[in-house]
Amino acid sequence: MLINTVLVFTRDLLPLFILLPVLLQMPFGEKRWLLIRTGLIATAGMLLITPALTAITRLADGNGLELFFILLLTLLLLCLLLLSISWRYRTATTMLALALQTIICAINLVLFSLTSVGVAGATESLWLGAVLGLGICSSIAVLAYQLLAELKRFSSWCLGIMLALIAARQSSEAIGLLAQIDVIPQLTTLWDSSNLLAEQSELGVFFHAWFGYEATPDAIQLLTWAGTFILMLLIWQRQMR
Amino acid sequence: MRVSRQYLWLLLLGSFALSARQEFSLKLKDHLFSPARLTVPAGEKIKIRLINQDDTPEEFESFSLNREKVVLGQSQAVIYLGPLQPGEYPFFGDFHPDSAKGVLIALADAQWRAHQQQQTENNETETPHVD
Amino acid sequence: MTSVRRYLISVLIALLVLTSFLAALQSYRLSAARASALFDQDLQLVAASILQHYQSSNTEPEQGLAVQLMKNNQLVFKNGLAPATALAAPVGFSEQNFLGKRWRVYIGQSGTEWQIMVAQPLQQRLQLADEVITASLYPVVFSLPLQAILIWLVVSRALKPLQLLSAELTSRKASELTPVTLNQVPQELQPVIQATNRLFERLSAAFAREKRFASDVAHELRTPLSVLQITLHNAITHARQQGIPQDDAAMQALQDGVERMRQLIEQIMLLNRTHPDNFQANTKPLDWAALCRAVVAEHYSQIEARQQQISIEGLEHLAVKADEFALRLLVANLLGNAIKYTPLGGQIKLTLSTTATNAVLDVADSGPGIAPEEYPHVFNRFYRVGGDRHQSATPGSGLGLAIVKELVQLHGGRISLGRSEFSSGLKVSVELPLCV
Repeated sequence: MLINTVLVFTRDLLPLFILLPVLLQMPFGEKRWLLIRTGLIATAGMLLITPALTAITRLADGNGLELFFILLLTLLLLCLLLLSISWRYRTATTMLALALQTIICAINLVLFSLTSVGVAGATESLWLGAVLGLGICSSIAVLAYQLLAELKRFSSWCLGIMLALIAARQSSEAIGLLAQIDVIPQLTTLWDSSNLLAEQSELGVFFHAWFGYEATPDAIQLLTWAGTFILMLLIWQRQMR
Repeated sequence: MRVSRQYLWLLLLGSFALSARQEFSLKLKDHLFSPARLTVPAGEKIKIRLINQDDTPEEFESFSLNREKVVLGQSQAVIYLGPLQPGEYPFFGDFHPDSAKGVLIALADAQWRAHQQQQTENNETETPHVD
Repeated sequence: MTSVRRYLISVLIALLVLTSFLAALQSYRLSAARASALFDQDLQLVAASILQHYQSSNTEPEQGLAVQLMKNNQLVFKNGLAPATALAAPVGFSEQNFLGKRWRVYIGQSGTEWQIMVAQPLQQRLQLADEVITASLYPVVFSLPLQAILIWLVVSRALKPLQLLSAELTSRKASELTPVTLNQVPQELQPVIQATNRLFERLSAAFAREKRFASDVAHELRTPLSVLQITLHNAITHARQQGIPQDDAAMQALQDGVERMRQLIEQIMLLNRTHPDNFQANTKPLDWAALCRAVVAEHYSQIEARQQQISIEGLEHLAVKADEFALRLLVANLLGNAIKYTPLGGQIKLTLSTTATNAVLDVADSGPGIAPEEYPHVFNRFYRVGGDRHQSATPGSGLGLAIVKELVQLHGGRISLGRSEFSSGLKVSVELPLCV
């Protein structure tokens, strides 16, 4: 029970807590205000979405949530692309990207927290699990931030590669959801590396949240991932020049 | 954005219209999947109707199938699968992984026919099948 | 720039949280596996004992477990919790769903004909294990804030000398060049403090040399200059007595030049004397108004020569506590400036007044005045309004106002500049604390 809560919280929160330190490495004037405003945007978004969550899930023959996530992921991907193309609107795009990622995480957590409603003893487990999960995620964020700050001094490519990995993750996630609702065909899996690194292991969860690790990817997903990654790097290189 | 959304809907409707998929049902009650061993044909496009009879939501998750589908309490969801390679694909409920466990067995053509025959025989002799 | 303290605290706490939480999760997993193994062992023992007893006597098996006994694949016994038909499960341990629950099932065999099924609800096992293990995790979570506070304290404590050093250096005045002294300096900081102190030493020596140099030079120049002045005067007088023709204008210029140089040297020495480091003030209550009148009287011949009108207005008596020499120098400098920069026939006005705490002397003239943007600079040494374009007809060193400012500061007063009430001109206001 507890371990599952921790796993779910970590899995759902990690993408945000990996995106956050990367975006905060951009040169901003006042980071605190940026975060506060992002929080406000995300909270406002969640206040709008949460009451409609059931309705959203029922849309499009029960595929509404997937479509909604695809929309959010696409917007997030566009934000990251825009951020790589030009730093001129970096404050707005960063806030939007963070707010989108927060909303994605929050929807998953809201759905999960519904499971403990009316179950005796589940809330305690939920709180402890949430504390553990949040602690792990924020520690990773702090360490990633400091590590990136260190790496950034050696090469500005580190930031570009991190952004590219995260963007590639969003696109492969979106493609996975498209396959799930049968918009694009599901091809045979290219390999199965679950023996090497299972997706449900701690490292697997971390890698999935970071760059979208899949133990059993199919060709479309892999191509989308690689395409986005290379596109992001090319854009970054153009900006670096 | 608008154009791509429209395109998406077209694709979606098109794929629904074309789908002549065999449907299997997977029930969720008391955080238990039934059947816990779901046998399906390999090499075919199929869909699984997930019927959640509990009051709390559940997330159908399978790493080997690359599926992660939320189904709210007292509602249904459809999971599109296949064509699958013959083999076993474990799945579980993300929110209750201790009890909600199951495995999807994709059988190759010959085995699938044998299995179906057995099913009908079982039904005729009324032997209860416990999973 | 990043803060070492914040970096250390955040990274240390993050590492601590990450490792301890991951370790807690790992210990949860291991404990759960261990508990599961123990439960399995129990199940196996129960199965063995039931088999034994059932074959000898028919005893009711344990509570909470589902039991089925099969002989030659035929169900011969089942208890209330077990399903009505023989469970199809592999021999050994497995997990099965029946009767709306998930069970941990053990199928044991005895010989070839007997088979026993013992099953325990998975929920029950997990809940039991979960409660025990979760309780053991609470200390990890609850001790974290304490550990975080300790890390914060230790890091802050360790970086305290660095903070003290930077506070000590930033609180210093620019002129303060005494060595830095800190208690209990850590080894790593010792070279920094030593290097800083060595630098301070060299700097203060250099400053002292520079300061002494100007006054030494001035002092050394005074005697030969006096000799030069007297010799020049004697030469002119002598030539006049002897009737030797001479260029009067050139001689006058020569004399003026020497006189200006004498004034300059005089002022350099005054400046040095009035420097707060050197000045030994001998303050006593003085009547500022009387002093002003005396200074005006001293300068009256000059004022008359320039056909200027001078007036002293305001209070007849104004008591301030000051050094007499310094105050006289101050007024003389201000008046001298006013006389110098006011054109022929211009006006000069001295006004004495008081504020709540201060005695105020305003010296206003009808000269050309100073542009407000130049106000901050005129107190600098050797600064002259208009720079190189300064009217060369007006002699001056650019030291007058610098001296005045030092004198004012010496008495804890204030000096400010403004426009005079005449059609043009400068007003200098000097405020000194009232003598109570």
